[in-house]
Amino acid sequence: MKIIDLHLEGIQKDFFFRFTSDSESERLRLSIQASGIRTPVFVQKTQKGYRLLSGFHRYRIALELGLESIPASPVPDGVPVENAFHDVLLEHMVHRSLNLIEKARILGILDRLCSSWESMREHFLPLLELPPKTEILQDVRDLLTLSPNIQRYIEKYDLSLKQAVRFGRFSPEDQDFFGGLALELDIRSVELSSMMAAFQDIAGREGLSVTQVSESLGCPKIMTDSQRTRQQRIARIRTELERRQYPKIYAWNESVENLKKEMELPEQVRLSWDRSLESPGIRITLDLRSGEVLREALRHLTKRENQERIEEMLRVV
Amino acid sequence: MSIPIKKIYVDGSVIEEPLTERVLENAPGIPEEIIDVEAFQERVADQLTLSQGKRVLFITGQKGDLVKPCPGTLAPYLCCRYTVINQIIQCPMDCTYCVLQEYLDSPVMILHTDMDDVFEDIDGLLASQPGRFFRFGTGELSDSLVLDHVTELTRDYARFFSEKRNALIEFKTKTNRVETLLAVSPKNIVVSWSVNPQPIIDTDEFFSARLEERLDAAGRCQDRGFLLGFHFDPILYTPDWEALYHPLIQQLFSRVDGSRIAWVSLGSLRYPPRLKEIVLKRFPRSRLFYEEMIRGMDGKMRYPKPMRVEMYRKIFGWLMEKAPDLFVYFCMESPDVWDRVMGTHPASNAELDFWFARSLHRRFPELELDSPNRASYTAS
Repeated sequence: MKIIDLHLEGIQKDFFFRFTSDSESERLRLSIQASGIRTPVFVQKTQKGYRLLSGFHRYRIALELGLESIPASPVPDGVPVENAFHDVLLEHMVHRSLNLIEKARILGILDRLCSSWESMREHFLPLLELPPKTEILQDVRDLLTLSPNIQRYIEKYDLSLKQAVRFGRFSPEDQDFFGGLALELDIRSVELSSMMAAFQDIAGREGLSVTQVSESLGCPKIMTDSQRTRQQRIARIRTELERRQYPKIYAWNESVENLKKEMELPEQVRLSWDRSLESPGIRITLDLRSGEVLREALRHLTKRENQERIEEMLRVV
Repeated sequence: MSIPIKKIYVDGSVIEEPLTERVLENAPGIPEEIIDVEAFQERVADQLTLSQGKRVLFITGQKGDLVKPCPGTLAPYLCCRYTVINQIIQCPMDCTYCVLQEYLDSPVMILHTDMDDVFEDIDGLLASQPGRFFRFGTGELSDSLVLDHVTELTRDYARFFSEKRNALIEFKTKTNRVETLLAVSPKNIVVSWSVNPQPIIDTDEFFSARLEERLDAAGRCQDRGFLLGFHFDPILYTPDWEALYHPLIQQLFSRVDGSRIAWVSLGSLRYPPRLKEIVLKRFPRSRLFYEEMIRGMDGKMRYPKPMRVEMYRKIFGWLMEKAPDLFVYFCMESPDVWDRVMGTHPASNAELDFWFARSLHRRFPELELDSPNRASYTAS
């Protein structure tokens, strides 16, 4: 492997092959500060100079530290740059796996290199653990059109494609809202997905944007309410969402709940029902500790007005 | 209605099958290519989106059983013990709510050529339970008539079923493609239409025939002597649903005679939770999936029971006003919903199957059904 001492000014700034995100690496900085760059970066010779294939962090730190040159290994003559890029990916994956946004960037790089379908299928897709399906690959590419907040969130929580593509259904403004909400309250993807679905149902039904729904529910205020813990803020938003998402079910349950209250049952008698209203009937649980409790329960349940109330409840459940 | 097939692929092993030859003859001008199954899967099916796949037909041989019990749904919801014939898989029409978007692996329309195997399976089934009346249908994994102008399968099925006792076939459709059908014997055939109000057809049943066209085709089939069926399924909730469904029923009975309707089914929108993602992606303008839904006892999403009951009661009432002797059943509903709407429910799926036979035997003597015996249903 040929190694040259490459002047930093000779490196093109288009970062054509960059697929990783900016990340702080204090250890790398300290190491470079102490001993210089020991592992050469990988470069491609072009008409305008050199293009980095790997070593973007080392290059950035070298610039920040005011180094003039770095050791670099150029792609040998006759080796197609696509092969060299493949080697870079292999090398990268020895250290850590790729997240979805990185995979999307890699597909973008391969598109710009005009990689053939055969080469993608044979060499790159197995490496990226992506199936050779056009529709799925397009879904991955489209992740780069999501708002920066959302892309950060996808990387931070290493979301699956199924989870990540959901963001694409929303406008950039709504994506920003979800990204802000998720990052601010540190909401995990499963919980965020369910909140997004609720927002979307309400917005779709009422003809509003998600941002408008969030404002009408008071979300911006709840999100920044310093009197509540993070969990309490999330719980509050969830409650507000559910009420608005299921108004009819809430109203039916409330009507049954009111009838139950009117019955004034002794505390040993509990009435319950399926809150989704799908499973029919009412269940009566009796905490029976003496014969008197049974007599008292029966007296209440068989009162004419309570029987009418139960009939009324059964019309709903 | 016009649905172009853009390309026909033929599995090399069935190129000389009569059905293959017939389809290619009936589809002049459509590009065709002979290909083996693996290459088709890799090179074609895997590369197409669902919308693209719906314009491609693959003619191939049998892959597993094509005649099987309708998968229905889980208890406590009741199903009717229908038997499905999956000779064509995938549908070129595109309904926003269609469960096939989630259910089928392949985006491409697949036509299986093995008629003899299908008929053998049907004969085997009939022989295995001689005391039972069977209803078969080809409209489960596709539309029964949408490709009939090229496949002419209805002709083969009509010939086969006209000689059967205690069995009929239902061709279920959202098209008006009845030309081939009108030339065959109507014996032991029910032609049925899935119906919805025209504004819903406009927004959620793409490439299907207009309501008026469907009802006109139904009228022509009735005039030719076919029994009819209608499926109000899925019934869709919108804020003005009453103003949509009541006129639909009026319109239906202005075109067809209620006494020639073999059955009417009622079912409201229900779907496996995973379908919603697909629909919102493929049809971002559809509003159907934003309604209040609960997860039913079978895991499928449904409207809350009070909503379903209210819609069914009204629709059932309107149907009864028009044709009091109509046989109406629910598709995948709970005994509780049956009770609340009709005042009774079948004790089991087998009992519902028996109710079908009893009603058809009483109302349509020309079917020459054996007098149904409840015991031979509930025992099977």
